[in-house]
Amino acid sequence: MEKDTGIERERERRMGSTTWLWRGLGTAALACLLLLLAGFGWALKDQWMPTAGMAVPEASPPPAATGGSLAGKPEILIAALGDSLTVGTGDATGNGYVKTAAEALAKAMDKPVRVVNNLALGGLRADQLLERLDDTGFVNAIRQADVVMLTIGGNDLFQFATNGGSMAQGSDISPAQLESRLPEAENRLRDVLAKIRSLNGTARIVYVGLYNPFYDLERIRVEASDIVQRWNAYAHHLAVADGNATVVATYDLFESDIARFLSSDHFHPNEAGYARIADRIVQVLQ
Amino acid sequence: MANLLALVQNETIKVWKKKRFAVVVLILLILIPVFVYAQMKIAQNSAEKFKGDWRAELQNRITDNTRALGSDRIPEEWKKWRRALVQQLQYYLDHDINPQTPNAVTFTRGFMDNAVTLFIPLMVLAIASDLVSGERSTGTIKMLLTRPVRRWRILFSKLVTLTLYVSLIIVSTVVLCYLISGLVFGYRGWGEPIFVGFQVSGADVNTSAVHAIPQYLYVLMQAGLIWFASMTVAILALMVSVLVRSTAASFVTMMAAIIAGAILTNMASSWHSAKYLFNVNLELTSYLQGTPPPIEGMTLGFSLCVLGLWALAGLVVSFAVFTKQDILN
Amino acid sequence: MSTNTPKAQETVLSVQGLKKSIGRKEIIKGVSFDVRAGEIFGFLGPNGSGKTTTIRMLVDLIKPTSGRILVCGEDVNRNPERALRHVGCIVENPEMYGYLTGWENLEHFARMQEGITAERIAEVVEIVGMDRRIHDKVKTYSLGMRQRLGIAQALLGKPKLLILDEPTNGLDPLGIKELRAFIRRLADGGMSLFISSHLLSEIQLMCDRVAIIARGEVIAVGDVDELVSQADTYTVWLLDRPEAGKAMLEADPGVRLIGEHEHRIDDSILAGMPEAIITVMEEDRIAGTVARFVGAGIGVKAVQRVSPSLEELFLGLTEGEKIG
Repeated sequence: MEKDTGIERERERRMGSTTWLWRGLGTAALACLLLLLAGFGWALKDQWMPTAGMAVPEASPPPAATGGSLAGKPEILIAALGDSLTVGTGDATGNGYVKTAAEALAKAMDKPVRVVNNLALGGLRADQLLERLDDTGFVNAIRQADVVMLTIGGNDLFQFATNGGSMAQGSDISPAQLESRLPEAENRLRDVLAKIRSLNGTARIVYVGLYNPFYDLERIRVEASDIVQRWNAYAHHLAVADGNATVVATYDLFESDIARFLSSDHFHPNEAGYARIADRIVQVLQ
Repeated sequence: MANLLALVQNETIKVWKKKRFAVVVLILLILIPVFVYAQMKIAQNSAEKFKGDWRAELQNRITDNTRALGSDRIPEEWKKWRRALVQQLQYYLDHDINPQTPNAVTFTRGFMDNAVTLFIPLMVLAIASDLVSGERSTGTIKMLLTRPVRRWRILFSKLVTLTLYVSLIIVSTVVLCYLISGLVFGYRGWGEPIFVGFQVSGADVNTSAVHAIPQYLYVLMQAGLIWFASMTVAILALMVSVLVRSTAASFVTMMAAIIAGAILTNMASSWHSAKYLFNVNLELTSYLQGTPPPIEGMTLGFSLCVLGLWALAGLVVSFAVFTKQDILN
Repeated sequence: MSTNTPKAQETVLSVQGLKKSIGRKEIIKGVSFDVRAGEIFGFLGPNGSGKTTTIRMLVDLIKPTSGRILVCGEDVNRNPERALRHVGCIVENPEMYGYLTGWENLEHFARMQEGITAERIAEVVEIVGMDRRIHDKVKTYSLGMRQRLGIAQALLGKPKLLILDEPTNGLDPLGIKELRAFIRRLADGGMSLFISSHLLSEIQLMCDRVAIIARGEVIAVGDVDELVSQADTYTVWLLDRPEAGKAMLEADPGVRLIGEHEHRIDDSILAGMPEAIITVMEEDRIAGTVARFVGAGIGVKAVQRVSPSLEELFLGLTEGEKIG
């Protein structure tokens, strides 16, 4: 008898353990299944019979630049725009002139300097940049910047081969073509600078001038250099008119000992070349 | 004739006592913290770089992807994907919504998007591959099938059990993901808006049907879609488990199929008829996200149909074989 | 050993013209037999004779190509859920779920059949005498305990027919003895038992009736004792002049001489009798033959009657099959 009740109790306990396991597990799993089925159904409904959706909360205005002199600011914000030179193409370290200049500036002015965004895209022409200046991201970045750095125009003037041909070879380039492109390109540059200024009235605009990428090409060296000079002069004219813009000259950096400062594509600077550009920018900003 | 519920109870208890679900939870408990840590590092890195300016960060992503579009070395298919991504990110930027607010819900959402092709199928297989072949390799099938119960009822009870466990796995993944990542990223974010309804056609994203929904709804829909894809995997695994005697062989067969699917998806193949394979259609959540499908012409409806047909075929084969099969050893 | 009560004549299992082909190969070529209530029915055959396949067909693990299996009148293939209700079985090894306890295993199988209560589970646990370890995980059990648990499982639904496939495999002698007694007890309680074995001694010791299967065919069905008595009994002669004696025996039409390689007498019996003459003859002719040998001056050193064992009977039957 004693033993019997012992077994009885033990049996009830054991029976209970799997019964409760099953009840708990089964209920939980069933609840999960129903939840997922609801989710699945909702996904189908949302795909084929979408509702208006929730109201998107009011946007908080993105920060804007305060203006005033760079020396008086606790932190300097930089926005960079333009073509492959601003991207830093050819720099094996990936820094380009923008980062190098920002670091040097931080050291020189003894305050934090931050690149808000480097929005440059390789191969960009001035007219394309003008379109992009309407993009929210460009607007945001330029609005809050204390310094806007840009390179543009090189592709407007020197881009000939469209199907992947290397610009550095320059074989298709004729001086007459360069000459005919100049006025159109100059207008675009004017529009770009005006647009930037309209987005941010106080930022210091640093335009990095062109250099002659065909300096070692005997055939058109002189003509190309001439065009570059006229372009830079026009940029300088625009900068002076603006009052808060600077053109940083680079043409003289790539006229001698080219191999030391150009990357292997013979067109873009290498890290040493970018470092020299950055040096000049820092000098200009101080 | 024993009732079906009792059979389901049997199967549920067996899977539980065999500690299959415990293994799944253990895998989750080990892997989720790894991903949380990785995500935390990324978040720290970008916080340092952008000082919490998410707009700058988002624009940076747009710029990076746009720059990649200019490269000749990137295959055309990937460019398509990036182009769509850029347009989507631009949409977020234009509407001033941060698509990646750092919180547990966003992390969970991202984790589930990535888990649908490999990780969740893997966990489903841990249970499904063993369901029939496990009984065969241990010989217990002989006891099971000599009881006065029709064979289709036995298999049906296994199928129901599998459905229950697939549901448990998915919900557990979401819950564990939320709980663990919340320790680092905070438990907020259920109500934050997210855009759905991007329609990708070719390289263009049509935003006319885009609307904002709160993240909790997104996670719910996402889990529902993952459930559907997982059920297809589970049913096919059940079929293989019926056909193949050893659990290992059954698991490896299904895993190979899943991995092959993941590779095919990434190759974004120009092999068009591959879109009729089940394993290329598992990433249902991409339709919710609005990322371009791996093969041109795939839509949510298409993928659901393909998965549904595969699952149906799997069921027919499973039941036909299981009810007729001779148990020879 | 079958009793004469009317209940005992009731057929519990009826196998009719069972055939099974796998691919093009016919592995079961025709199996028919009946098992009556309360008897212990032996199913004898060497490995590879189709024994296991037949047993699997009895419990619906393998579908027969043709033929019928009726359990208590219900067709196993058409109505497995009705027919198998009356059957408890262990096919080959008693494989249970190692990760469940003995009790949980029994619960599991109890749920698969209606009307099995917790009380019934406790009852079968007591019948097989396992109450001490029933709540331990099955993977910790010895083979003997698994065997008991298997039988407990088979008994759960109070079956009319218990099918045991090679039940003594792997048991120690004491365990085998206990099992035999247990089986006899079950049969005395009115249950029919169907026991397969490749060991003839096993069948002789346990069974009332036997079906013998070889190469996919049942070659004999009957009472174990009757089958034994049907077989030829050898008469072995040891004479001092074997050549002359052999000639005399050959001349006698009532005596059949058996060649050296045609008999199936165990070598141990013939040890030390290199010149033994083996014959088959009626028992009552022996005395006269002895007298004639003596008359002819042939000394009779020994005469011995050798009864066939079931093994001899079995080998004889299968040999005949081969020749035929």
